Amino acid sequence: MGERSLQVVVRNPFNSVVESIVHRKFPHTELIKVLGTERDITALLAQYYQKDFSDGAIYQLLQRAPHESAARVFTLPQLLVLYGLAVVGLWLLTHHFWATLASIMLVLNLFFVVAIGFKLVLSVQGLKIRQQEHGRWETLIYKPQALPIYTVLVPVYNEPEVIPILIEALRKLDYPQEKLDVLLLLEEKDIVTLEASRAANPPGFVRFILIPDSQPKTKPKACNYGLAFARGEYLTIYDAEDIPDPDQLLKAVWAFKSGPPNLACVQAALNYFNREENFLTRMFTLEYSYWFDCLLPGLEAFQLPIPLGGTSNHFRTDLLRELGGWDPFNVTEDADLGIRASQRGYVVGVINSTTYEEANCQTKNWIRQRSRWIKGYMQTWLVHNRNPWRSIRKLGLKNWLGYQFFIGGTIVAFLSGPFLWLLYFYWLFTRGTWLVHLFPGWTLYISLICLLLGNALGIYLNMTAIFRRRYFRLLPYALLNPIYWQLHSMAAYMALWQLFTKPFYWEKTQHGLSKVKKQTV
Amino acid sequence: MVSARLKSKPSDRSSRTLAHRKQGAAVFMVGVVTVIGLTSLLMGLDWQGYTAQPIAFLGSKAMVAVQGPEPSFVATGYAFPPLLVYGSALMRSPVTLQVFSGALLVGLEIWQMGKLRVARFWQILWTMLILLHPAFGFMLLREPVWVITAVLLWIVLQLMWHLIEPDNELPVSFLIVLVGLTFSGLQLLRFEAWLGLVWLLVILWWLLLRETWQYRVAALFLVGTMNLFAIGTCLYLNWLATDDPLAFLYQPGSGLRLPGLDSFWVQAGVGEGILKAMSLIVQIAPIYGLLMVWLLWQTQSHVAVGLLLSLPMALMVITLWQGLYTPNLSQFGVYLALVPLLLGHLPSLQSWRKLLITLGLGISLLCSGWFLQQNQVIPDEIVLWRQLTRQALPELQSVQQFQQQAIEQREIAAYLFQAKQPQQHILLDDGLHFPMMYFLHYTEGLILPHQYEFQVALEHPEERVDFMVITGGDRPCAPKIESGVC
Repeated sequence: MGERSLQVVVRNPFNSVVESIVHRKFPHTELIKVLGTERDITALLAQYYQKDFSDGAIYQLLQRAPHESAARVFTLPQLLVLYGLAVVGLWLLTHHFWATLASIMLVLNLFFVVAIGFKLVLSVQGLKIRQQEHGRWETLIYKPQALPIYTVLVPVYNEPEVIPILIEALRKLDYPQEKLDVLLLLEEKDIVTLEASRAANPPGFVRFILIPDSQPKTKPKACNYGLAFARGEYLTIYDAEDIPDPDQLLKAVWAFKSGPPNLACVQAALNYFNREENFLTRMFTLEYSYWFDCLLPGLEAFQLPIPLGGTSNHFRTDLLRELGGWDPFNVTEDADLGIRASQRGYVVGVINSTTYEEANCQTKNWIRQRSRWIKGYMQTWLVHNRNPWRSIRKLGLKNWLGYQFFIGGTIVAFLSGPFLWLLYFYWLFTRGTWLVHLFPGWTLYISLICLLLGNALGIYLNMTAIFRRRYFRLLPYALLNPIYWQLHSMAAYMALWQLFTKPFYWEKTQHGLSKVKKQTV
Repeated sequence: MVSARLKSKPSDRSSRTLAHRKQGAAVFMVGVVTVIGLTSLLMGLDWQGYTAQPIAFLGSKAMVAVQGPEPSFVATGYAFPPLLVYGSALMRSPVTLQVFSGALLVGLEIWQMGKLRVARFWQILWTMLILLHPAFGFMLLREPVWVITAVLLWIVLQLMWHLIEPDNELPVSFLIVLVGLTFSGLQLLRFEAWLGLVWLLVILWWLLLRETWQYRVAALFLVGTMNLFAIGTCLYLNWLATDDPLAFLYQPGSGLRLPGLDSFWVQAGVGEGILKAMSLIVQIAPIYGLLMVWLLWQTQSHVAVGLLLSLPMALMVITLWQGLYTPNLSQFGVYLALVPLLLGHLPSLQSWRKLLITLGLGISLLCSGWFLQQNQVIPDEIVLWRQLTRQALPELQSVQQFQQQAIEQREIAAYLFQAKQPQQHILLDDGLHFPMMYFLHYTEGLILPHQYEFQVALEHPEERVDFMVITGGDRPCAPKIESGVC
């Protein structure tokens, strides 16, 4: 730029918007337009602002609202409360051993009764919502000029083999290509994926964003970095192995256009294309179908905070920026974002569209992935319980309780489950009389209700979603849920250990392990 | 779904919200009035010395469950119906359970009547005819089991009716899931429902004929699973308490067959049972038969409607087949409870039809009154009927004996309540004398048959027992309050 001249790279030299902006800001300046592609502009932005964007991606939320960031795992008051509880617990155990254990048992069982009741109500409400919406969103197809630019963030790391399939899936999206803004978020040191991406020769609407190498190396950090480049009015995230329903973006646009102004995000359902591969993928499909087809619509119907799923969540970009993007220190940044949106008075909805993913088909890999999710839930629960009173004021009592049951309840259920099952089997095989002390009076009846009807209801509700999706062959597998729940508990203990040892460590899920081809969807 | 939630205009939504609020307020008022009315009636009857046997049974079991003596689970684990035993324990009293479930049923009746497209006059008249019907009234006053059975059957029939109607607004999967859930509640209430499950699955198969066979098999699997879980729960509780999963079928204090009614149990084969069930319905609740024929005549789906409306009758046939039938009017209250639901499905209600319905309800009321007046029911209901209509008790031996026993049990309970000191013990055969325990309102110091101490105390009563209430040979516990031993 000279003293009286300014060089601007533009895609369309006939677009006068840039000219008017520059002349308003720098009057009497000569404008020299240089023709460039979107990719050139992106490269220039990255060249000059990489450090700012990178710092923003990591520290923006921490600087703006440190109490909302998971960068600090425990606060001092939380540690004091934990310490206090441990001291009181030990004192009670030494002075009133059986009474203390019986009380813990009673509280745990009461919690399970309430949690099951809560899930029953949510599931019934979720099931009541018709899946077949009258397709008013389809009218959007006929007005492509009225459609907004849609940004799609696709974080990819060390997955060169999925790139061609991913690009093919993006091509199939039922959305005008000139309105698509796909950002492939690649780690700058991940040369193999970068080369595979270039070799795939992606269409013009795809841009490569190279994420500078820095810690924490997490998906939310990559997404935050990508957010700085997003041009779309709306934005969504897909994982590399995702196969979204082609009409998903249109449905999301329709949901936003017909929704209330405070609708910040809509979540599409997630499901699996390799559901019949083995026991794990079947159980995973049962779980996801129940979660996304029953529970989330139930939460939406009662206007409770929705913990977002890992992908296929569609945002209003301006509101996402206002919220500060994702927390890069939280390993379930999506769940945390859903709660933060609720705290600011925004609502999260669900849309009737599915993205098919690859279900984890190896036990070790599954446990690692699940441990990250549960660790993220622990982080989220701790972050939003730093000042419970403030959380209640921001969320409202109903939402706060819903969040406690959904986030906190999940952790408690997985951590306590094995102990209860162990006690039951111990009694079954030994008929140990000392167990009578643990289940005095009412505790026995409540425990029996939990054991018999609670588990039965858990299994039944799990069946309902799969029935609605017409995956009939998976129905009997729901009976094996108690075994599957033990895997969750193993992951929960791994998560608890990591929360203290390496809280920000991102257990990367290995994809591409399935022998089932994506074309089977 | 977001788009679904926002389809209606704001003005529509606000007027609908207002209408819902008004409806909610009306339902709440009905609930309050019913709760007050039922409580007053039950308290009034209690003051006059009447307590229904089923309520006393549930009350005594609930007391043992909550207060002991330990091991209380051994005495309650095999009790049937488990849902109501633990429900009564949770609500602290079977009367509370009866009042609230009764209020729910009455609210449901009034709500359904209010939806009928007839003038308010007819709605009120028909509601009054149902509420005044002795079978319905007796059900509300003495049979929590049948009240909740009526509510659950009402829900099941309503849900399944949606499956018949092709233009229903609710998703089929939602309806099927709820049918499974609701009917599983019945499994913990009435033993007949265990066998009735087969009938339910047959109906469901027929109602889903338009679906693929895979869908139908999956639906039956889904509904069957939850019901089998419920049945399994009951069996497991029995096994835990007595080591025999089928203990409730024969244990005297299980509640499946209340003691003292030995001579009233009726058993019939399936064919005979069908005829008897039909004859009883025609005699006591002819309105149900009338509406059933009427609906069958009017509908296009004869088989579906026929199968659906036969479900309550099938349960009665199973009752007769299993020898669980006693001539009590309360159970026919279920058929009266279903009347508003059936009326709601009649295509049109022209004036002559309204008169016919009124006539049907009137005849039903008179028939059951006549049935009662002829003393064709169990003594408990004869006493209640005579007490409500302020008539003298008939000279029947069974009635006199029942009444005498009831008075004695109350007197002994009152005596023990005053005479027993805190450290003293009462040996009580709760299998037969459960009403006494209910009247006592405490279990402290009781020695009951499920305890190890019972046998020891029976062998050495002078050392371990201060009072004894047991079945004595051929006499019905004649009270001889002598030196503190009954």
